[in-house]
Amino acid sequence: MVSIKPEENEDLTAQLRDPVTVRSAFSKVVRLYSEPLYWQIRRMVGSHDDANDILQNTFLKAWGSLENFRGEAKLSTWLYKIAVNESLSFLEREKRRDAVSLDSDETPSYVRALYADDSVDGAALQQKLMRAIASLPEKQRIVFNMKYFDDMKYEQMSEILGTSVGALKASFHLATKKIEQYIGNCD
Amino acid sequence: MVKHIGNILEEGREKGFAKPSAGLKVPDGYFESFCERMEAALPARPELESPEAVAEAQRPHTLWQKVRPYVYMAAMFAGVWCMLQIFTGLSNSGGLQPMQDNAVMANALSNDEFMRDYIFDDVNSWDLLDEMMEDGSLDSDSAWDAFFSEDTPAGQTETVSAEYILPQ
Repeated sequence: MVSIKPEENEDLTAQLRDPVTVRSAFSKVVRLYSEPLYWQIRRMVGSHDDANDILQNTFLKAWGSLENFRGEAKLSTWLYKIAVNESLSFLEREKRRDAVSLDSDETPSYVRALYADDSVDGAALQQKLMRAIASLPEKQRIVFNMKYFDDMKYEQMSEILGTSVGALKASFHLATKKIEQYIGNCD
Repeated sequence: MVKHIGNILEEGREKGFAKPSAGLKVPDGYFESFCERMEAALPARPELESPEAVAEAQRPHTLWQKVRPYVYMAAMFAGVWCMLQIFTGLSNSGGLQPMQDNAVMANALSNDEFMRDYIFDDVNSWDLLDEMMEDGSLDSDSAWDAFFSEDTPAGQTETVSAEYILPQ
């Protein structure tokens, strides 16, 4: 997770409010946050192409509603919120399209996408871990990814997801239990 | 032997699996080209980017725009007050004026035709006589002479003229 200093965040926010510097400041935002947002989205939706589309939509939505960003929250929190919502909407549409129930043995499309192309590499353990993570319910997967891969603090996750810190800790704990069970069944 | 999940996650961290990009690849130069493509794709927003448009939006309000919220609030309170006045007036109008102050009622009651048509339409004269004799308004002898003649069969209901009913 990209973390910029509070004064840098304030500077950037001020530049976003100035009509003279708004576009250049937003370009700076894109350069700062495109990569971390991409990985967050990619781990949710699986496919690079889908992640690319969602990332573009995220920034377009942010640009379109820039006047709604009042600077009370951090810029990163605001962007992550948009990215998570876009990803969840995408997954919801995919779910309806696939008509896959949660209890089904059918592999969800995002998992197929994750392994369909050659954009996955790594050791067997890593692959096993990724499959285990992919088997988690959406919300737990988001929480696990944010905690394990982005090393995000629970307080920030709470702001992004609108869930209490306690619920997030419980969700992460459940996620690790499920991963343990998945890997245990594989071995 | 199944490793405990905590060990697996720790092992993953040590091996660098806990990075956001771990296990996933992107096309070469993707992020650089993405930034350029994104900057080009941002639509124009004159309300944000044009200093003139921003200044126009931030221009001080006219006098009407400044006082409008207070005018609306005053109108709201005035409306509530009017409604209260109406409801209070309706509830007070249920009471009738005292008879001695009610000239309209007094005129109506002194009109024989009105009394005949609207008040004493079906007054039973026998019941009336009984009441008047009971309360002493009339004694039995004068009642007989005043109200009955040889032509009036006993028990027949007669229309009683108002002049015999109302106190003189």
